[in-house]
Amino acid sequence: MTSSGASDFARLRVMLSWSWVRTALVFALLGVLFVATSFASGAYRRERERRAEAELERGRALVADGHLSPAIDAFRSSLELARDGIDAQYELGLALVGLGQDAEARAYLRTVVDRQPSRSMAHLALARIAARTRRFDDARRRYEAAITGQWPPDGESRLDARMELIQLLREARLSREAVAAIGVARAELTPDDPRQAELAAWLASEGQRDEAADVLRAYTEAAGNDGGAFARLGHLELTRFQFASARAAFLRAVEITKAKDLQEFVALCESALRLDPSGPRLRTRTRLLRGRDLLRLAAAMDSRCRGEVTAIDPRSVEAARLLALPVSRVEGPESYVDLATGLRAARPSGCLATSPEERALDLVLDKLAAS
Amino acid sequence: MKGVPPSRSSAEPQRFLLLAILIGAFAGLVVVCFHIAIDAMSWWALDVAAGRSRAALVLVPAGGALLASALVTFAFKAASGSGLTATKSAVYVSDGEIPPSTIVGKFLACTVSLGTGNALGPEDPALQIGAGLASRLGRVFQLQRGQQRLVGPVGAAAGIAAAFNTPITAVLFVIEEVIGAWNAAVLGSIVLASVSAVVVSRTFLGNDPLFGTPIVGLAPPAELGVYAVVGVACGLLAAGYVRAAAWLRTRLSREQRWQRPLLAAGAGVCVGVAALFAPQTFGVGYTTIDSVLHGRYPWQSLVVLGTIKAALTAVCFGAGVPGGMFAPTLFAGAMVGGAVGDLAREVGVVSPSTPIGGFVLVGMGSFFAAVFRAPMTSIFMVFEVSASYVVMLPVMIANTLAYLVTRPLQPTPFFDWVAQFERLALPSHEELREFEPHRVEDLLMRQAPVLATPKDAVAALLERASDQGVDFVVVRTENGVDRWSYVAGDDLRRAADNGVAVLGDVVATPMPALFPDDTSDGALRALGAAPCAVVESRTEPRQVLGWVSLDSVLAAYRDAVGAVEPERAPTAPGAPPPPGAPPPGPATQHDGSDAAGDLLAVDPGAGDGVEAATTGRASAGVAAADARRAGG
Repeated sequence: MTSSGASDFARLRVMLSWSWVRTALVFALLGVLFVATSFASGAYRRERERRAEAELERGRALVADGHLSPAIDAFRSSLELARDGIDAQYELGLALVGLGQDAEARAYLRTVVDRQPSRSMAHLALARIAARTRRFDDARRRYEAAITGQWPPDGESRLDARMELIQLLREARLSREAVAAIGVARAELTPDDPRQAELAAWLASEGQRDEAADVLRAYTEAAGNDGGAFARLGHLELTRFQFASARAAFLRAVEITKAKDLQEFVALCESALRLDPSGPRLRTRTRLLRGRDLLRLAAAMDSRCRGEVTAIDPRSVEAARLLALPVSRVEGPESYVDLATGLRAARPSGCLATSPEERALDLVLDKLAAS
Repeated sequence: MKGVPPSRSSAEPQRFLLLAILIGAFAGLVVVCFHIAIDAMSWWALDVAAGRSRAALVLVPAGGALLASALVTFAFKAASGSGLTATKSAVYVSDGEIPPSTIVGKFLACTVSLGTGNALGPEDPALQIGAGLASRLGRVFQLQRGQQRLVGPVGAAAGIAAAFNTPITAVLFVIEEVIGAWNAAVLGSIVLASVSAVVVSRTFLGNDPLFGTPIVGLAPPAELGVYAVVGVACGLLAAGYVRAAAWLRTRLSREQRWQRPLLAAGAGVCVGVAALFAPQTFGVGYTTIDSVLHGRYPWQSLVVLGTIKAALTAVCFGAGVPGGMFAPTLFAGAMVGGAVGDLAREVGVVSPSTPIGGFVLVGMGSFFAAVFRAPMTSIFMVFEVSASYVVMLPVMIANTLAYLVTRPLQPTPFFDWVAQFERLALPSHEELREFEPHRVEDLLMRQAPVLATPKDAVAALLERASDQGVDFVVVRTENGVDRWSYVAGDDLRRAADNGVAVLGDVVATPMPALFPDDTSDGALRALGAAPCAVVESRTEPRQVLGWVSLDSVLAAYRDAVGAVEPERAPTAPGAPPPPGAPPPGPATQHDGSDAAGDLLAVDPGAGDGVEAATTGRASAGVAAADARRAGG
C-alpha cells in the first residue's frame, strides 16, 4: 500500500468512526430527551389530574350549596384539565340541566352514557330533557335505560325513574303501557310508600278505578295514619258510588286530620246512604220510601230553581201527583227514580246543589243511572 | 462551507428522509416539553396571583412580558422576531443556519410570556424551535448545502404539527408559506417529519384534538349565504387587524434596547387589566374558543371578546412580546364567525337550533386565510380541527371571499410585512403563486434571422448577419431529416479570415430545442451558451414552429421589470419608516443579491430534486425581488 493510499484509508476510518459516533450521540441525546419528556409528561399529567379533581370537588361543593352557575365554571375548568373526565362531564351535564341549558347538557350527558351506559342518573337527566321537549320515544328509551342501570346509594332512585316514566306514558297517551308500568311500580314499592297513593290516582285517571281503590285501600291499611290518603280513598269510593266505604274512609280521614271540610263529605256519604234505594239487603218498602225521598228532593230543588214554571211543567205536575200518592199505590221505586232523573235533566245549568242532601241526590241518581 | 462532504452519495435522498423522521421525533419531544413548560408556568403564575389582590393579576402578565422581552433583547438576541420569518431567512439567507441560542431563547422567552397569559400563541415559536433543531441536526449529519437549507422547513413543519396536533395543516403551511413550491422530495420529508412529530406529541399529550369540536351538519343553501357573510366580515376585519398590528409595531419599536422590555411590560399590564374584566382573553385562548364552539356566548359577548383580544394581540405584537400570532388569529376569527352566526340565528336568517360551531370554525379558517394569506392551509386546518367533511364547502366559500376581500385592503401579507420590517428581502410566496412566467410561444420568432445551408458562402452570410443585427447564423443540414445547428459570428469571422469559402467547412454547434409552452426560465437554461434555439411542436417533433433567441428572452425580462409597480415601503400604511427598526445584522445585511447568488450557486446538476426545487424557486424569487428593486 502506498503512503497516499494509507492516509486515505486512515481518513476514511476517521470519517466513518466519527460518523458513527455522531449518530450514536444523536440517538443517545434523543433517548435522554425521551426519558426526560416521559418524566415531565408523567408529572404534568398527574398535576393536571390533581387540578382537575380539585376543580371537580369544588364544583360538587358549589352544587351542594345550590350555586349552579359557579359550579358549572368549576366543572368546565376540570374538563379543560382532563378532557376525558367522565365525572366532570356528568356533573356538568346535570348542572346544566339544572340551569335549563338543555342543548349543551345533552351533549355532555350523551358522552357520559356512550362511555358508561349504566350511569342511570345521566340517562334520567337525558330522559327529562327529552320529556321537556316532548320527544316521547327518546325519553321513554332513556327512562327505561335509567331504570335498568346502576343507581347511586343516595339521591334519586330507580323508582323515581319509574314514576317519571309513568307520567311520560300518560302524557303520551299510552294508557295501556302506563297501566302496565304502574303495576310494575306497585310491585316494587313497599305497601306503605306514599307513592302508592300517587299510583292509585294515576290508575283512577286512566279509568282503572277499582284497581286504584284497591291500591289506596292497601296503602291506607299499611300506612295507617295518612289522612290525605284516606280522604283520596273516600273521594275515589264516592266516584265508584261505594258510599259506605267512602264514609268509612272520610271518617278515618277526619279522625286523623280533624279537617272540617272532610266532615261535609261524611255527611254527604251518610245522605247518599240514606237516599240510595239500590243498597243491599233493603226491603221493598224501604226502597219505595227512599225512591220517594229522592223524588221529593228533586222536586224541591226543581221548585227552588225554576219557581212558578214548575206549576205548568208536566214532569213537576206528575211528581206532585206521585208524591201525593201513598207508597203502597206506586208500582216500584223506579217510578220515583225515573221522574227524579227527568226533573234533574230539566234543571237549569245554574241550579247547583246547596246541601249535602241535594249533592247526595245527584250522586245517587248518577249511581242509579250508571247501574 | 464547513462540514460539506467531499462527494455526493446516491443514498442522499433516503438519508434525508430518515433524518426527517429523526427531526420530527426531536421536534415533537421538545415541543411537548414546551407545551408542558407553558402550562406549568401558567399554573405557577395563576397560583401566585390567586388569593391576592387584583393588582397581582395585572402584574403577572406584565412581569412575564418584561422578563421574556429582556431574555430576547439581552440574552438570546437571535430568538427575537417572527419564527416564520427567521425560518424563511435561514432558507434564503444563511444556508439553513439557525443558531442554537434561538432554540433555547425562544423556548424560555415564550414559556415565560405565554405562561403568564400574554395574548399571543405558541405555534410560531414551536415552528422556529422545530426549524432550529432541524438546522442543528442537519449540521451534525453534514448535509449538503441545498439540503441544509431545506432542513429548516422540515423542522418547522414538525414543530407546528406537534404544537397544533394537525399534521396536514403543518405540511401545507410550510409548503405555502416557507418553501412556496411543491416538490416530491421535500414534500416527503416534511410529511414524514410532521407525522413523526405528531406521533410523539400524541404519545405524551394524548390524542385529543386542539378543540372539542361539536358535530357540524350539512349546511342548507340559506346558511351558505351566512357563511359568505362570515368570509366577507373576516376579510374586512383581517385587513384592519393586520394594519393595526403593523402600525403599533412600527410606532412602538425602539432603538434603545433597554426600552423594549419596558414596552413589553406595558403590553402585559394591558393584558392584565383586560383580564380583570374579560378573563376569557387571558392566555392563549383555546379554552375560550372551545366554549364559543359550543355556543356558550351570545354574539354581543363575542364582539366584545374578539375586539379586546385583537387589540391586546396587536399591542403585545407591537411591543415585541415574544410569541406567535396564530392562536390570537384563530381566536379573533372564532369570535367573528360566532358573532355573525349567532346574529343570523337571532334575526331568523338561519334556524335558532343551528349549531354555532360551524360558523366558528369557518370564521377561524377565514380569518387565518385573510391574515396569513394561506388559503389552502386554512381550509385543511378547519378540516383537521373539526374532523368534519361537510364543513369543507362553507370553509372554501368563506375563505375565498375573505382572501379576495382582504387583498386590496391590505396588499402586503402579514409575514411579508414582518420580513420587510425586519429588513429582510425574502421572496413573497403570495407573489410567487401569482407569478405568470413568460412562455416560449410569447417570444417566438417565426423566421430565423439568418437561415443558411452548408453550401452558402461564409462572406455572404457575414454580411447578411450584419444586416440583420445578429451575431450568428442558423444552419439547416439535410441528411434525410432536418437538423438544426448554429454558427456564432466569431467562428464565421475566423473562418473567413482563414480563407474558408462555404459554411459546410465550418464546425456548427447543434442547436437546443424547445417547446412552445416552455418557460423563459427553462429557455435560458436550455440555451446555455447558444444564441438561439429551435422551437418544435410537441405533437410533431420535427415540425419547426420558430426560433427563440437569447436576446428575445432577455428583452422579455427587461419588459417585465419595467412593468412592475414600485416597491412598497416596509412600514405600516401611512406610517413613517420605523425609527427603531432593528439594524440589519450580518445575516440580513444584504440587498438581495447575496441570497440570489447563494441560491443560484447550487449545482444545477444536483439531480436529487431537493436542490432543483430551491433553484427553480430562487430564480423566480430573484426575478421578483429584482423587479421590485428595479421598480423602486
